[in-house]
Amino acid sequence: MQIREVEIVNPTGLHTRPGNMFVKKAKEYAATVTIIKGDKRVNAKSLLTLMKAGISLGDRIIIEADGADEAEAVAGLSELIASFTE
Amino acid sequence: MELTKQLLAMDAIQLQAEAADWKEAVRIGVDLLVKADAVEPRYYDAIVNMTTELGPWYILAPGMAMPHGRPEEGVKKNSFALVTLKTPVNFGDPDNDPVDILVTLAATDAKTMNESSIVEVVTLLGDDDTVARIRAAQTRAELEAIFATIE
Repeated sequence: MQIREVEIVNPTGLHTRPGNMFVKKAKEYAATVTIIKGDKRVNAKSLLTLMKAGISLGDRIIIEADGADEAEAVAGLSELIASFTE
Repeated sequence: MELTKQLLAMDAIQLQAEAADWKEAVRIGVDLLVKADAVEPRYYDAIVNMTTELGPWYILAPGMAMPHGRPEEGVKKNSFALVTLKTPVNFGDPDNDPVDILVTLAATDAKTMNESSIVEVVTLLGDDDTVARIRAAQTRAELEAIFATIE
């Protein structure tokens, strides 16, 4: 298992358009990907559950990946979050 | 819940509607909001244009869509519209097509959209049992009975 803490830097947070891009990217990996915010753990491959977590600008979240490509998943998804500007 | 109260108060509900494709399905939801004086008709064009450009980014889960545009694209009031379809339509999202529940939403600012409106929608649609009952509802009275149990 690989985990990494990241900070949300874009004004929209992981809502709608950026959220959808994040879910699409998460689905590219075979690993199970979970987002942890506080005491909430949600499946990163579903926009519905991701948005239930309500991830906004300034939040610190943990990306947890478990599976064959877990290292690539954590690296790729952290990079994507850092690249959001919307 | 604000979402269910507003749907009933604005009568922005169409159950078992018939739409030939995703654009017609989006149109039905936006028309409900236009009728309620909550958005301008151009809100529809904004959603369709953005969907054509970016793909349907607002598909939440299998069968469920949450079409919306930006506040500056003709939104007058924070509002929601619920549409269920007799025959599901494809939006071009292979993971989640076909879609038969649409909650169209409009918010006057991005903060309300992200921190309030969307949270309301995903809370309602995040409950599998509620979603199954909404899908099956044929009349406003049936829907009111469903909403009464979740408030």
